[in-house]
Amino acid sequence: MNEMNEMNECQNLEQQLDDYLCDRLSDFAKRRIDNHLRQCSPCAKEVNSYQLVIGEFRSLSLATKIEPSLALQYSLERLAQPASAPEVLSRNNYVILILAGVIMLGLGTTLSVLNYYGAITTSLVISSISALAGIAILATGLAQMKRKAKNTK
Amino acid sequence: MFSDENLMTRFGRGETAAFSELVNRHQHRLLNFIYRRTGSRESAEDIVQETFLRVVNAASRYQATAKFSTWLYTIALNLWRNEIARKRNPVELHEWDRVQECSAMDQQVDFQKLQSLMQDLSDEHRLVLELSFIEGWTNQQIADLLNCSVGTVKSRKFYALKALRKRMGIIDNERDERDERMSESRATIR
Repeated sequence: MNEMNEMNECQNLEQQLDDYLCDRLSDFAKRRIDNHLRQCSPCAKEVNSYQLVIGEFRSLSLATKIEPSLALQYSLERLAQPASAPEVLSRNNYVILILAGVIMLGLGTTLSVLNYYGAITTSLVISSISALAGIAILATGLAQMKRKAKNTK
Repeated sequence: MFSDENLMTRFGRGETAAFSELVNRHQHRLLNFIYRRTGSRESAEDIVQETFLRVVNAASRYQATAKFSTWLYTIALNLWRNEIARKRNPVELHEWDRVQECSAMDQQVDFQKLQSLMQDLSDEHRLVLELSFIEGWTNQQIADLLNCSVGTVKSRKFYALKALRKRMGIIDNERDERDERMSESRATIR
């Protein structure tokens, strides 16, 4: 009976060896294997040999570690600066810009015309600003669309 | 704390601080991962820089379908493979002496020890070992990167561990013989 149990535990170890070595087992599963290793010398020898290899591999790998140079750190920092930042405006974004520009321009023009005929008494400055802002947003949207089309080509 | 994937999506929307965080998280590990393959700091730094540049350029198209780190390492590995193909001269053991001139003496010795330890292994086997025991990746992540099954990752890992064990002179003869007999008998049954 004991022998059967031991064989089961050996099989269990074989199935979970990878997770055991990578330290990915639950506390319960780990304790079960640790208990088995205390009783089964061939398994203990096997696991110990792998742990020695992994330990040596890790320590040599870590001993050869280098730090990024200042030049690399500077280059990586610059990558995210606006000049080289990604094209954040997707197609939908420039469509929205163009629409917003047209609406603002329309609003500004309408206000100016209504003001001119005396239908309303808003400040000319407000209607002019609205129209100018509309032109600026429209121009930005069209420029983005042009750039996008160029990039696609 | 935001996940890498979340940061990348934010960067795609124009948050440059998200990119800086990604760089902080990955530059050290990625640099050393590539450095262990090229043996040259200069070349490793070029590859890391080019990798992040590609990340920047792809940011607006990024979709979090896979883990960010898998994507990042795939780009870096492809760049390294391209460099090897261009040079048609993979780094041999003797080259490490030359390229490590600037390193500290102790580090140079360790580097040579590491290369000597790994000399029997193919690059795929080395990759599995490094990603598993140095980078702490799961088998699934490694399988995604190498485009193979989890079973293949596990078998490569143990093949590599056994090869290192043999090279280090820590051999469990009894077990290895039994394993060999078992795999032979499995092959006969098939």
